[in-house]
Amino acid sequence: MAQTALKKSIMDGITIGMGYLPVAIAFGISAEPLMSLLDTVLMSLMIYGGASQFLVLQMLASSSALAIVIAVFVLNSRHFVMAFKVNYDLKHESFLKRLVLSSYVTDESFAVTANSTREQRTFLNYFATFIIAYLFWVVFSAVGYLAGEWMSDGWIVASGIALYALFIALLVPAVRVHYKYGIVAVFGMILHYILSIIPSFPSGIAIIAAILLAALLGLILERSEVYN
Amino acid sequence: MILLITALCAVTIIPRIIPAFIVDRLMLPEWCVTYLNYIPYAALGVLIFPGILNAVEHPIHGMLGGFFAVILALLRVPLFFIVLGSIVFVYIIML
Repeated sequence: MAQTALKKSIMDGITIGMGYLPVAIAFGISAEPLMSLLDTVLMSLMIYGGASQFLVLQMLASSSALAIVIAVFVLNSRHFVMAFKVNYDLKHESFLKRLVLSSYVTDESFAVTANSTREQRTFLNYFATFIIAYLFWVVFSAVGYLAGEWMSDGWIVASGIALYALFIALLVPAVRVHYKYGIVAVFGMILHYILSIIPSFPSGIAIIAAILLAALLGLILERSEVYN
Repeated sequence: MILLITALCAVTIIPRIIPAFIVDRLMLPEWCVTYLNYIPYAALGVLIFPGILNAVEHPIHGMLGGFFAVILALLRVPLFFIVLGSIVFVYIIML
C-alpha cells in the first residue's frame, strides 16, 4: 500500500515537472536577454515561483528593487494559505519535516497534493512530489536560458502562454470532478478583472483579495448545499 | 542582483513556512477547512484571468491559446502536452 502511494507521489512529481518544463524553458528564454545564466538559475533555486519570476523580469527594467520585493511578497503571500493546508493535512508529521515541505509549496504542487489520498499524506510522499517538481523547474530554467540564444522571437513570444496553459491544465480536471470549482474559479477571474481595472490599485493586493473572496463563494455554495 | 534575489528568496519563503510554526497551536473549525479547500481553485482562476490577456503580444491570441488549452485538458491530454501544444498553437496563430 505504502509502495503504491510513493509510486503515485513520484508520478505526481513527474507530472508537475513535465508541466513546469515548458514554463521553465519559457522563463529561461525570457531571462536570457536580461541577466546572466547564474542569476537565472539562482532565481529558480531561491524564489521557485513561476508567476513571481516572470513578474520580476517584467519589473526589472522599470521598477526599483524595493518595489519588486514588495510586489513579489504580495503575489507570493497566497502560498501562506496553501502551505497552511499542506501543514494541516500533515499535522501528524514533525515540525522540521513540515518546515522542509512548506518551503517547496507552489500553486501546482499544492493543487496536486490538495487531492491526495489518506495513504499519501506522509512526509516521504509529499517530499518526493515536491522535490521532483523543484528539480524540473531549476534544471529547465537553465536549459531555456541556453536555448534562448538560438530561439527565434516568434517562439519566445509564444512561450508566454506556457504558464497559463499549466494553470488551465490544473483547473480543468477539478471542474470535471465538480462544477462548483469552476464557478469559484470564474468568480475569481471576474473579481480579479474588476480589481485590476481600478486605477493604481496594487496588483498583488488585487490577486489576494480576489482569491480570498472567490474561495468564500465556494464556502457559501457548499453551506447552502448542506442546508438544502 | 544577488542582493535582490536574496531578498526575493526571503519574501517568498516566509509566507510558505509560517504555517509550519502555527498550525499546531490552531484548531481549525470545519468551515475553515472547507474554505481552505477552495483556495487553490480560486487561485487558479485569479491567476489565469486577466493575466492571460498579456501572455502574448495580442490579447486575442492569449485567449485563443487559453481555449485551446481548455480543449486539450477536456480531452484528458497529459499536462506536458497541454502546455507544449498551447505554445505551438499560439506560435501558429501568430504567423
